[in-house]
Amino acid sequence: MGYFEEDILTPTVSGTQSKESSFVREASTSQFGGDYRIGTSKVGNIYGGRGAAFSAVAENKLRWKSTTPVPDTAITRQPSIGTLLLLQDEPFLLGDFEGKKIITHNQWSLIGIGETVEEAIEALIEEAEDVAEFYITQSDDSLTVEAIALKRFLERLTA
Amino acid sequence: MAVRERAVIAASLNRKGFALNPGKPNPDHAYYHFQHPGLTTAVFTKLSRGKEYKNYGDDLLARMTKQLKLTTKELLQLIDCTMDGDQYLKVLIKRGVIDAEKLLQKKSGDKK
Repeated sequence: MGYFEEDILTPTVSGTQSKESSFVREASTSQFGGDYRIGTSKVGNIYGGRGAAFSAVAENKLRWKSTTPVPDTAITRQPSIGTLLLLQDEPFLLGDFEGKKIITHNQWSLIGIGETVEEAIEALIEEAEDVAEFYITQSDDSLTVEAIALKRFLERLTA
Repeated sequence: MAVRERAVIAASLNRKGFALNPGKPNPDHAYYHFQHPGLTTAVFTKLSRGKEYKNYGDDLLARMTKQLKLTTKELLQLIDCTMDGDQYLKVLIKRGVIDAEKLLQKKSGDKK
């Protein structure tokens, strides 16, 4: 669907990425910092990592860590299984699903499955678009707190 | 290998508190949203509409387990009616998918 216009292995370019609105960021469980970029999306820029990588500690608590500068020639890398990805500031977990990549949320049913991380994200966005109208048109009074959070996410995604 | 008819799954979901998304019909999927009486949750699943999906095998059931936050065994219990809607809600609360305290606050707030 043309969400991703750049190859994930494209060398990053230093400069203004950190000024872009972040759509997807990697949250590495094993290291801080680094530079991670997936590409661009029709729903927003998804540059990530630079200056805003975060870590998931063992207790699943999230905390932000500033990053060290990354060489201009750094190569972006595929996130590994168990990595948390930030999509519109919401943490999603990257996992393995019968040999494919799956992205899940701990409280929402939104999932994305694909051969690659990019395909999984694309599938998740498609599913989000499928349910967006339903949630966005519901009043907050009729939703659980988790569903209200999902509604806010969908509003940001489709804005 | 587990196989369940799509129609059986849909009927079971309806009985367990899932409501068919009343919005614009998706030509490919029907979305079912879990509702605790009066409140719609962030839990939903989708059933594919195509003829080739009249029966759900392991792969599609596995996908449903991810959406519904269940194990395969639990999903089959939900479909086969040995797990009712209240039991399913308890599973979701136990797994942190739904915050019981906030749910109660929301329910009590709705009554005021």
